[in-house]
Amino acid sequence: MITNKNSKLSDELATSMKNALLNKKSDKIVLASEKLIEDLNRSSELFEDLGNYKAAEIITKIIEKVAGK
Amino acid sequence: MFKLNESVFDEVTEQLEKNLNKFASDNATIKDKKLVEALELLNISAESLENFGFEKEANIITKLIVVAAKKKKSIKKDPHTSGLTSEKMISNLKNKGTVFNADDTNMAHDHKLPSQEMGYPIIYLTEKDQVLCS
Repeated sequence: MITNKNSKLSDELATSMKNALLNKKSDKIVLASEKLIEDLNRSSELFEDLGNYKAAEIITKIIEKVAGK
Repeated sequence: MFKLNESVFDEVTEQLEKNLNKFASDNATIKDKKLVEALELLNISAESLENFGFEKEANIITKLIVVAAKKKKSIKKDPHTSGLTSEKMISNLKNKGTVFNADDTNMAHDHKLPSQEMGYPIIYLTEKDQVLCS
């Protein structure tokens, strides 16, 4: 039988588990977005090295847009 | 004044030519590698952008990949000039009558070349040439 005290503990546990999951998810999102910006930066550098400045400029604009959000 | 022996000069020239060719080839390989790496990174980025809801940006990146890949594909070696060295050019000139790798196959149809026994070389114009001259 679930008492009031147990019910409260159960709710707390559920909330903390939910928060932990959300934190884990947001950590993953942060890591993925960091990797995305890193990849875009590197490709922009490579295009600049290759003399394709237009491509590098387009990628830089996308980085600015993604990083801004 | 210091003067190089002819055989030494030839050797030095040959070595210089080899080094220049190697440098050109290495440089091309480095450029190819850089382009491949950039295209791979862009491909991964396009997928990530789509996952994050940046569909417009993902489409732009995809178009960029297509354009860059097309450019890469269109850079082809010209068989008439690829691997030409001064020796090869001289050899081509002796054997084919042109410094380029390919034979000038159309030349035989354009003009009838007289043999040296016939005296001064004269180029006989065909009907097509006369039409062009008039």
